[in-house]
Amino acid sequence: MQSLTNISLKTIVIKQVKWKAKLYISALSSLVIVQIIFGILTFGSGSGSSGSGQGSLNVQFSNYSLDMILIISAIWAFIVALLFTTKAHRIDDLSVISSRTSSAIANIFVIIIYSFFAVIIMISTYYLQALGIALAEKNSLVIDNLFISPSILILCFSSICLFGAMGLLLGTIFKGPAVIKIFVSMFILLGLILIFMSPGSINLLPIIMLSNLMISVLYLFVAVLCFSLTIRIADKSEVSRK
Amino acid sequence: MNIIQCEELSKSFGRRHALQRVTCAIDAEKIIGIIGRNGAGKSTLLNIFAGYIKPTTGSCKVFNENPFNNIQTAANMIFIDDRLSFSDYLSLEDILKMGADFYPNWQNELAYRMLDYAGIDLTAKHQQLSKGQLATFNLVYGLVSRCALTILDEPMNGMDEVIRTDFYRAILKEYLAFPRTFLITSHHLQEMESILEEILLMDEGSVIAHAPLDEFKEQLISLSGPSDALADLLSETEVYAQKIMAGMTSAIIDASKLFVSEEILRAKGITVSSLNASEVCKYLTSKKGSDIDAIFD
Repeated sequence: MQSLTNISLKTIVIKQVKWKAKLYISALSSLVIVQIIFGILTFGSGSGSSGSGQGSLNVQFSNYSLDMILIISAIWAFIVALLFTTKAHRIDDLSVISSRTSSAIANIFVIIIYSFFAVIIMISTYYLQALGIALAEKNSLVIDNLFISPSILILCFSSICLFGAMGLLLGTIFKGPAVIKIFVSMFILLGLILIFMSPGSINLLPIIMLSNLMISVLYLFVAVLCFSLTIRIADKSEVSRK
Repeated sequence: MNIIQCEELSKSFGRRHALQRVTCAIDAEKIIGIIGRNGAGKSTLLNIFAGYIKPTTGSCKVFNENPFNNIQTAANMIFIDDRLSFSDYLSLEDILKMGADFYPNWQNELAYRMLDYAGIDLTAKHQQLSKGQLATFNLVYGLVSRCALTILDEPMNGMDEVIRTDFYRAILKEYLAFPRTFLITSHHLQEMESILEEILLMDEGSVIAHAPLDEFKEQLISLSGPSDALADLLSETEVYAQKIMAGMTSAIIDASKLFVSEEILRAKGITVSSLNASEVCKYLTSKKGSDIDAIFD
């Protein structure tokens, strides 16, 4: 009898990550395009502006920060991760050696790699925007914080990663076993009821008050939790090819 | 040696029972035709073998392991059907490169030669191929991967007759060059008969026959002769189909239930003839009393 092939899960995951990262590179170009459009739209006003005037004196402040760029990147990560779990991508995975577990792990690694690149794209956008304003604006430009500290970079990475993890988890849940779908739907419903019935019960202030590094650790912890659940659910899921 | 072993395998989708207590064993290095009418449960069974779905009850072992979501099963199995899909960003040449990267026994040169023979442009995208070309490419992809278990679910759908004939030969030649287990489902049994070693016949979610091709064909026989001479004989056995015309009757019966020698039958003017595999499948799976003509009467 023909000898059987022994391939480890690790080998397959590495091959899948290599091909997926190469194939879905257009996701990164879509982030660049979105950020360029956003940069043009907010060129004059920044991520927030305020103004006041008295007599002939008129003062207008425009703040340019990473906040909005980060929000866009996080939403992008969520959508891209959700797309990774769509039927088209899942069926593509079946055309090569793979299991649901290997595909889920590969998707997680691709999201982590893309999150890293998304941070680089974010920073580039930020500096390009700052350069553009410095060259184009005749009004005075007060540079408060041009150097982005490593803790902010880590926070950006962990935030994007967290949203990517949530996208993967959500997509996997709704393709997973019916029991999990029902359980999660009930959980979300109860959560919404709790928020609407007693909004004061959820206090995010202690989290906001944490240092950047602590928030990053918290985000990464939740992301790891989402990734683990994604793998666990994928492990139990059947393939629907219809 | 068995590479697939199923015991009391059942699969339900809601209230629909796709498979019902299927017990079967598939030997290594054979070309086996999985035959059945639409909705017989063939694809469900193949999906369980491939590890894509879990049985509701019963057990299934492929290479002595539970195939569901099993990376070792995936590494030694390829499932080819018309739903095989690849990323929009890959040309056919890229797909072959990807296949070579994943499958250890991949035959790239052979893939190039076969696709060149079929006149398929390697710069094209998978989605741009016509139905027949798509089926041809998918089949080539399955053949050159040289997996120990090659599952081909309706691989010839959409191919023209010439290509179909050629690719039956290609399957046989690949099998001889690199013996492995082929499980093939097809509605073109007559064309495929020459390459099959065994037939596993399914009907309404159950395996109703599993035998070597010759043994399978001998299950039913056709008797024709004067209606008077056949009347007694047919009353004692199960008749699968019967036609009476101008005092002459022709009937399909179970060969194992015929206890009269051919000489005696010949003496009564009854001729015995064998059926081909396709006819045996048709009679074994046709519903009793169902007749398309009755709808129009």
